[in-house]
This record gives sequence, structure tokens and C-alpha cells, in this order.
Amino acid sequence: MVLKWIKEQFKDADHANFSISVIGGVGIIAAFCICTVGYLLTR
Amino acid sequence: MGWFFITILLPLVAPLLALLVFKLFPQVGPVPLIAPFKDGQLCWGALGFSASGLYEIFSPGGNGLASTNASTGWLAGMLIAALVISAMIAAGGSVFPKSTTAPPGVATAKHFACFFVSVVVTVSAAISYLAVHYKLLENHG
Repeated sequence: MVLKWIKEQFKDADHANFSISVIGGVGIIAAFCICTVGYLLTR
Repeated sequence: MGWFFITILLPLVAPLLALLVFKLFPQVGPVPLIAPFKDGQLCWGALGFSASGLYEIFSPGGNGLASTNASTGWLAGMLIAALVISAMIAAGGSVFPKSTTAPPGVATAKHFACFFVSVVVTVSAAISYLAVHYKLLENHG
């Protein structure tokens, strides 16, 4: 299922570029939120 | 302030400055200013910020915070996340490059998504590196 979804993202160059960008954008925002909450809880 | 200009700002704007110098010479075609950044190239700078920040955190006897702040791990985690995501975007942009102009019917934001995300990732990595270098979080640990 996951592999099929990944293959779907790489069906063409434009789509792959956009998918990588979206995953990266969501990832950095999620990392920022998680690390900020973690920092505030452990300081 | 000098450290900020030399370490953070200069590596990011240097390609743009070089491109402006190229414009002084006869051109074989148009040289769009977005060209050095459109495929997430800013993330190569973010990779450097992340690696340098991690080095400062974990280098013994240096400017690191490792021995003084129990929550430094979260800052290191942010730098590691920025490093991984930067590598992904920089590699993805290199392998799947975009044209310098958006094709008809495609929104600019979607066409240059890689560029806009690379700006966000680079700013995040730069802020994290600044927090490490200037020990911005140390007094609150």
C-alpha cells in the first residue's frame, strides 16, 4: 500500500518535485512543533 | 553581527551576487534571477547550518550547550530534522528540476513549491543554528 503510494508520487518529474516539497514542508513544520513542545516541557 | 553576515547570509546570497556579475557580460539568453534557487538549492546552505549547529552542540569544550542544558536534545533534534529534510529537498530538486517559468494553467506557488519550502527549511535551520551559536536558549534551561 505504502509502496504503491510512493510509486504514484514518482509517476512524473513535476509530480515528484511537488510531492517531495510537500513532504519536506509538512516535515519541517511538524519537527518545529514537536521540538518546541519537547523543549518547553523539559526546560 | 559579522558572524551572521559571514556564516548565514553570505552563503545564501552568494549565488545571486555571482549571477548579477554574470549579467555584466554578453548573454546567450535570458538569465532569470530565480534560476539559482528554484530547485531548492538554498537547502545546500541549510545542510551546512545544520551540520555546523550539531558540531557546536556536541563538540566538547567548545561553545556547545551539551553539558549545561538538559533540553539541548530537542534543539539537536530540530537540527537533525532540518538536515534530513534539506538533503531530501536538495536531492529531489536536483533530480526533478523545474522550468524557470510556470507553464500556463499551473499556479506559481505550486510550480515553485520546492523553492518556497526550501526558504522555510533554510530559515528554520538558520534560526536553530543562531540559537546554538548565541546560546539563546541556555539561560532558560
